[in-house]
Amino acid sequence: MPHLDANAELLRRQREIVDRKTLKKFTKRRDLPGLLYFFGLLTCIVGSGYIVFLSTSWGWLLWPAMLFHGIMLSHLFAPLHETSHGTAFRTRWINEAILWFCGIVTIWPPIYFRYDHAGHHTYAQEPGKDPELVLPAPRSLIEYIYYVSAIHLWIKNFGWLFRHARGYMHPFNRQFVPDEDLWRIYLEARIMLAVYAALIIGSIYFQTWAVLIYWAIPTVIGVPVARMLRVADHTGCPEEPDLHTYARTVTTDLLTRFFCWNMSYHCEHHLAPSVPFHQLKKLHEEVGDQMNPVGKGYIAVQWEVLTKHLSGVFPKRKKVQPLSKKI
Amino acid sequence: MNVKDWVFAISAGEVEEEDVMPAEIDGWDIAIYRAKGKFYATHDKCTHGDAYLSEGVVVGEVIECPLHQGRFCIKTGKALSAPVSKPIETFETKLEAGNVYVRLKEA
Repeated sequence: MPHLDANAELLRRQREIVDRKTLKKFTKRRDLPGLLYFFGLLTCIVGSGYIVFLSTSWGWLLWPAMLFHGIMLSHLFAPLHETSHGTAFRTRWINEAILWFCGIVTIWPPIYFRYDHAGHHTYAQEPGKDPELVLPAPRSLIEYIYYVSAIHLWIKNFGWLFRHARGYMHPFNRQFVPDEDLWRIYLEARIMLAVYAALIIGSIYFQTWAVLIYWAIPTVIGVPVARMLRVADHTGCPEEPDLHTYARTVTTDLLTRFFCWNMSYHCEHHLAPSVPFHQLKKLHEEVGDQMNPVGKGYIAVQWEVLTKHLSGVFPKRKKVQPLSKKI
Repeated sequence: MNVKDWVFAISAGEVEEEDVMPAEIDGWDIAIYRAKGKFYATHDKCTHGDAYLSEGVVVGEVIECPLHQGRFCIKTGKALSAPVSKPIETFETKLEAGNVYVRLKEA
């Protein structure tokens, strides 16, 4: 793999901040916290789904109900992310089952995401290398809206699915996946598209709107909230490989931490991705003062991005270098 | 591939149950594991990202890489989950008088 130097450097920088013995205290795996968080979130989703059910006879109120339900659904990205690291549970099959469930519901190919996300951890905030770089500078209001609306997300994720299903991977994505594992990614995409096709065919056959109103529409209209949380992770932080500053640790309340599975401690997560989500608060207490605790909540960070880190309304086109003239 | 003689790797007491420690043997970086009361040894460098597995997390009989959480079976070296796909080399171990010995292989 072409990432060896970057990885070695990342570990060296990690050790400058926290030694192995200290880190070890936080890396133990448990099932209970993940099960509580996951079934807690699932309960919220069932509850918001019930509100959608009630509102089907209330006319226009169906739409805010679907929005609320969609916001709940969008938080399944948090367990998807944590299980992609394999740190959510001690029992592996529980981890993988929830990874797949969340991947299918949120329309993220889970195995490919695992590779892509490994690339993000190696190259976080490095333009041209980080596969998940959110709104690199110079960023504009239009690009912010495009990102938060999640239009880019659907283009990207369905792009992955359709390309991988026909046995092709974009060269940029290809660098993160070893040859011997390509078949898994292609099979995964085919399975996911088969599931979605079955849902569409089933809905038509049984003449039901259930898939649309309980999943598809809420997912599309609710996901911008999860996108806004992701903007706060890195956007506006220095675009250089500095573990101290390339992510933010956001100050937020217990309920938000529950929904984002403690990813508000994003600096600590990047410092040591082997630390499970339920130990990030303790890791923050140990090393947080060396990281980038911004002392602001998600809304304040969003405002900061909008007011300080955008460079205008429209995207700035990159200047094209003129061809060198022959003398 | 021929095997070499047994070489002292580490004192058994230095490796806690369900843990891993690094050992340098004949210039090789080796990871020594203790799981379910037994000792195991593999190359220390992950086959994916060049991280030291001895800085990783042992869960049962599995070592998880500290960088990207790729997983290997510490008994067989088999790569168990993405992003790792290539196996890690394993070595024989023996426990004698409270010390762990490893038998490396000829290159």
